[in-house]
Amino acid sequence: MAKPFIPVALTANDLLEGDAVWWTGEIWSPSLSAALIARDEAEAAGLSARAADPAEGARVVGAYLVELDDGGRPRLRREAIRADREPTFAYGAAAPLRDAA
Amino acid sequence: MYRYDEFDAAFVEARAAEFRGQVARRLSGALTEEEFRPLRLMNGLYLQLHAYMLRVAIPYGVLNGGQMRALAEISERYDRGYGHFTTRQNIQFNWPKLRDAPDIIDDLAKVGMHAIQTSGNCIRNTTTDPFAGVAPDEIEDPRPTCELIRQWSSLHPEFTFLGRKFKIAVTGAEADRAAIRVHDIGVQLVRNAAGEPGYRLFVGGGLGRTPMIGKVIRDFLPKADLLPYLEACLRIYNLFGRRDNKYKARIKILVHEVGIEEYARLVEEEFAAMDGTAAPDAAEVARIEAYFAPPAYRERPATSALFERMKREDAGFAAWARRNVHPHRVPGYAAATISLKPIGGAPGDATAEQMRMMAEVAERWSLDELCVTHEQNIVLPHVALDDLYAVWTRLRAQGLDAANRGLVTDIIACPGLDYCALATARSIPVAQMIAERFTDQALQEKIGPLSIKISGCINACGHHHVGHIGILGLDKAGVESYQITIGGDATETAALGDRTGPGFSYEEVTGAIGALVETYLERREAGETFLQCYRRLGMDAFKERLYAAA
Ligand code: SF4
Repeated sequence: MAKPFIPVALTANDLLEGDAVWWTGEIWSPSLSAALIARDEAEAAGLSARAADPAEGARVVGAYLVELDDGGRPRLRREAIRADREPTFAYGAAAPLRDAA
Repeated sequence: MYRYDEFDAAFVEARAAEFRGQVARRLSGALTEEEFRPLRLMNGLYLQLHAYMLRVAIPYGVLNGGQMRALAEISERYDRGYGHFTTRQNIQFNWPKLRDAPDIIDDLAKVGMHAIQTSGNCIRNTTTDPFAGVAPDEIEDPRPTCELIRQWSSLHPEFTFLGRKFKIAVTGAEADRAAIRVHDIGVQLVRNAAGEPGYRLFVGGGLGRTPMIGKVIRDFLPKADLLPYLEACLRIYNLFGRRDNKYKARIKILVHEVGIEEYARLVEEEFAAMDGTAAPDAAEVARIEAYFAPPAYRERPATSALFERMKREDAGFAAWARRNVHPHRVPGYAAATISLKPIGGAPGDATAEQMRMMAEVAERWSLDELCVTHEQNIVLPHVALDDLYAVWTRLRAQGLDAANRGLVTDIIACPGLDYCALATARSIPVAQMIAERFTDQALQEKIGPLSIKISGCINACGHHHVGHIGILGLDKAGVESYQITIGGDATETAALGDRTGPGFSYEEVTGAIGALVETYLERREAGETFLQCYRRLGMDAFKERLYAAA
């Protein structure tokens, strides 16, 4: 039996800003929820073609496909952290510093 | 401390202008990412998980107040109001924009700083003892040697495109506080039988996926021969080091494969054939040394009644004095560590406000000097004993008073999966969970010296191999798994840690560290440190408890 297709979305980093962006079918959006999700091989090939398009190199860096779970979240922790656009802890001035007991 | 001369300033300014042009060409489409990437990396600009990251060079960790303040301002103007001090005594900004990068580089140049050679296959920032110049056990101040190496290695035409990155560390004392044995080349200031100063050189050390302890290549090298000898070492590496496989391209692999005797023979042959042009001019050496002449200390009594009284009156200060205050070679002075490991913080992070506070404290009470340590803390090298309480009070106002230097919560952790594109697991949150478990100051002091070092992948930026307890975060079929090593040591008794066995999940790792510490507390002999206890008892004693529940 053929392996079931795992949905994918196309991501990259914005050239100017550096942040993670997702291809919506029209623009690169900072939000994964706006991403165009490929649900079969043909749609995934379409996203790969977009990733390889040299014109995109003027807007984004390092485009690649990310596998998503049924809820539309990245399957890998790395990609989930990246999609959330933040470390998993409060940092900088928001870090909850406290004294040793 | 060293101040840029006209040559340094012109070089940094020219480089800033060149980088501005490169960024403009990338943005106009004249350069592809493939063409631009090596250029941005040469200027310290990486692309990480969430954003670009700029790594700024802090030569051998030494900064003045103005430079620290400039870093604070950069973090606010172009980033998210904080910076991350690294195990290479540098600072990283985690959120800069490409369009701002040329302005950041310009702002750095205004205070004699840059980001050159903080990335790429070149000779990186030379690191040293954070107590350089003030440690009572020092044979000589290692910083003039570091500066000599910095000048020699900056844009060295022969060594700009090595097989891999190359790291040199220097210590001026027998006690190794610079981890020289786990560097590509380690340089130790020594004296020979005639009492002349010179260097002992180690070669082929390193961490990463194939950790190795450096081997002695020269027991004594006259001082004047250092640069030609380093040049010979690098040349042989450049000639014979592998370029076919990046994982085998470090000098440690070459030294390991050909053997230290053969590598040394090749180096000595090359060195003997050199014509002397690589040796620095004596006037230049004297000029550099003059920059590191001891600052204007005031004559002071060796003890301070105020310092002693405040220790008696304020238990928090007394704890800080016990842990974070270090001897100084000048009577009446001390060096003080500002811990960047508060409970709840990210190891090595400092906010703009904290950086400004450190700048102010340094200017007012430490003869305008600070030093970033490879343990991701900051040292104030010249504080009068009389001023320590005032310093502590100011630091306390910014949460910079953690009294934990060298203790279980003084954890080294690389950025890991929360920032780093190469990571396989998180490291900062693991450090935070462990620190939470040991918040009790009395317990920390009861445990005593214990270095925990965490890396978020095999590249080992968190030096886990040489932590008394090392933690390496890996990815096991999509799940974070933490491999633990014990018995590592980065000092003059350097050793690589031994793996305990199967890894632990993110949820289990804190408990595992707890089990190791409990074993130590139960089985130690009087006065025995964790490392000594492990060396006496061996792995089985620790393993038993560690895997008991499994
Ligand atoms: S050790 Fe790995 S995860 Fe940590 S900073 Fe280095 S490359 Fe990144």
